[in-house]
Amino acid sequence: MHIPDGYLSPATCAVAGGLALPAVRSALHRARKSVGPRRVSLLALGAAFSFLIMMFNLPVPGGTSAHAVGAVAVAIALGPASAVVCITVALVIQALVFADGGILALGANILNMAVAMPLVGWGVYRLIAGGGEPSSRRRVAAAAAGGYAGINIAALLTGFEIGIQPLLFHTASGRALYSPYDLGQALPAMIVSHLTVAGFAEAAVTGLMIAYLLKANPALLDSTTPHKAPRLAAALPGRKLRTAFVGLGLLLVLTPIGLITTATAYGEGSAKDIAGEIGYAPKGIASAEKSIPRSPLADYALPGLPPVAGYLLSGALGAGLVAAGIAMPHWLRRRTRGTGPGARGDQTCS
Amino acid sequence: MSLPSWLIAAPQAAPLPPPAGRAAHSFLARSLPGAAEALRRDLFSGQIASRPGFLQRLDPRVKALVGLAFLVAAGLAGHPLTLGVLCLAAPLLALASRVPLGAFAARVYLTVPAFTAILVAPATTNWVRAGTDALVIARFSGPLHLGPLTLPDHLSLTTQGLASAGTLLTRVTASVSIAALFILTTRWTRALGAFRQLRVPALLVAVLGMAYRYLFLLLTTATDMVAARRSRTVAPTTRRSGRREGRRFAGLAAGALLTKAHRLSEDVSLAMISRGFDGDFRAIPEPALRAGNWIALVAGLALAAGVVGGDRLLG
Repeated sequence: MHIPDGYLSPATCAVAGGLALPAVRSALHRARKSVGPRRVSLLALGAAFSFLIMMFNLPVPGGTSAHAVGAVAVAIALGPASAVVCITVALVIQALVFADGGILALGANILNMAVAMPLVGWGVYRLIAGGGEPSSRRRVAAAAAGGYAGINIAALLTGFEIGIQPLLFHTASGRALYSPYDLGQALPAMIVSHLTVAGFAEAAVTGLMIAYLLKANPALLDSTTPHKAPRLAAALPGRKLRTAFVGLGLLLVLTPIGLITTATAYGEGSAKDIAGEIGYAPKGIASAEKSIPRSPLADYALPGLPPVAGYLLSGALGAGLVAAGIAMPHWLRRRTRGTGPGARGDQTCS
Repeated sequence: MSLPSWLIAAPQAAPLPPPAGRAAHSFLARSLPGAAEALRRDLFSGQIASRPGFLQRLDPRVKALVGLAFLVAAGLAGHPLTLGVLCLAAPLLALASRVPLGAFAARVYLTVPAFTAILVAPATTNWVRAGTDALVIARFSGPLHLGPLTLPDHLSLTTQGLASAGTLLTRVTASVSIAALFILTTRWTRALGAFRQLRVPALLVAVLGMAYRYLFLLLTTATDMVAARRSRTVAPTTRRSGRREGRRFAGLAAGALLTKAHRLSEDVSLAMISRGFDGDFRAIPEPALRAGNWIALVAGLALAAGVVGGDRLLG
């Protein structure tokens, strides 16, 4: 899961770092604002704990081993913003001192394991744990599901970042300049191993940790008890819209799968595609193509960008427009009623 | 009156009986020596950082900036010659900085590059990455059908696959070497000071420094927890139940460790506040860069730019 230097191009590292940096800055700001002087030691011990969790290899079926990340457990126990800071610090120490993960690739590793993993895992935990007073069993199950979802989203991002390298960066002779495994190889390798093995190891560790804390130290979890801190539920729109957002998010992260196939979707080809298929282009289609103005993002491509980057950016842009379209009426309604939720704060425990 | 000899003799700690069979190699027992070894290596690198060598004499801020520039250069370079030169220059720089080559090799070559060599091996074959055959390993009567997969009628190493693997291996080796040279020749506290001077947020640097310090304490606590469990394990377990129990123990122990870490953080914060900590971070300012360090900074950055420029010229 820790990407070393050399596997990703500096351009990919810069983009990933550009995405991770605001998240870490925001998490630091929230963490600093929330508790003050006491926060430093809590974050430091949380980071040291995260580091140690990543050092323990768990035996998995097949004779191999996998290590847990513990990001979701830390997010549940200390709050999502604290988890972002803790895992970031653990990753920095690993990269600098123990050469586990690259220094240039730090942005990508932080994005995968310190930002996406705890936030997605924590979100899944809160969705399953619900807004009432769930039983301990339900919270343990929610934590396990959060751990499973969190590590799989991190694996998906890792596979995607590694998989786009040979598509974007290679010489004319076909020599890959960075990781040689393309999306069709890197994504299944990461996803299958995490869906079937490492995900369950993470789920077990997260679930057992929360089970232990519920029994031995429930005070530590008090601040993240859904009925005491239902800010996420309050901030999000209704259940149906929430489900829509979850579905949209899932579709968005699966967008890169579209790059695996090179075939044209049935019935969606251009006049040229049709001519290639059946030997000629019907006159009506050819003339319509000329008379209808072309979309600025035709063929999911952006002018000046490589096809793969254009495809992914188009996907993200389209999804963002859909999300904005869904959220705008809800936001306007809340705004006119004057009942919009305030800024979401970090859930803290000290 | 004299005391009996058994009473005078210094008490000897009875060693823990080694568990029978595979249980002796439980995963936690395997992980912890690895962690202890990492700790030992880190302490050893502290000794190297205090030696009078070439890189040790440079200001940590200069080393951090030049190191980063060379990491970018290693990332941008694509010609095998450029990457090869970077790989060869690193051990020479280690020698000039009185870094033992054994310690350097153990830290660089036996870690990420070794793992990368294994990982990239399948990509050198035509079954994973299509290309021009460089060496045919085996020929079959026809294409092989493995479920939905159809593989070519021969297995070979491809020119493109071998070139890709070579590029990745040399790039990874160069990158790991640069990072190793920085950390082996820089004291951790001075590295943190440099980060602070280079405008890394104060809270992040403070957490980084404290986390590093308490890492060793938590590691000792975890080791004690595993030893305590082993000392209470009387019955040998089967391989399967041992694994299940091991996973259960790891999860619960992690919860216990988090609780201990939380309590410790409370104690530490109280101690910090009692010493006057008010939430503001004050770092000892690093002295201004001397002329020699300025020259090293400019020369280092120019050299990194030269590496990229030379690589472009080589094509």
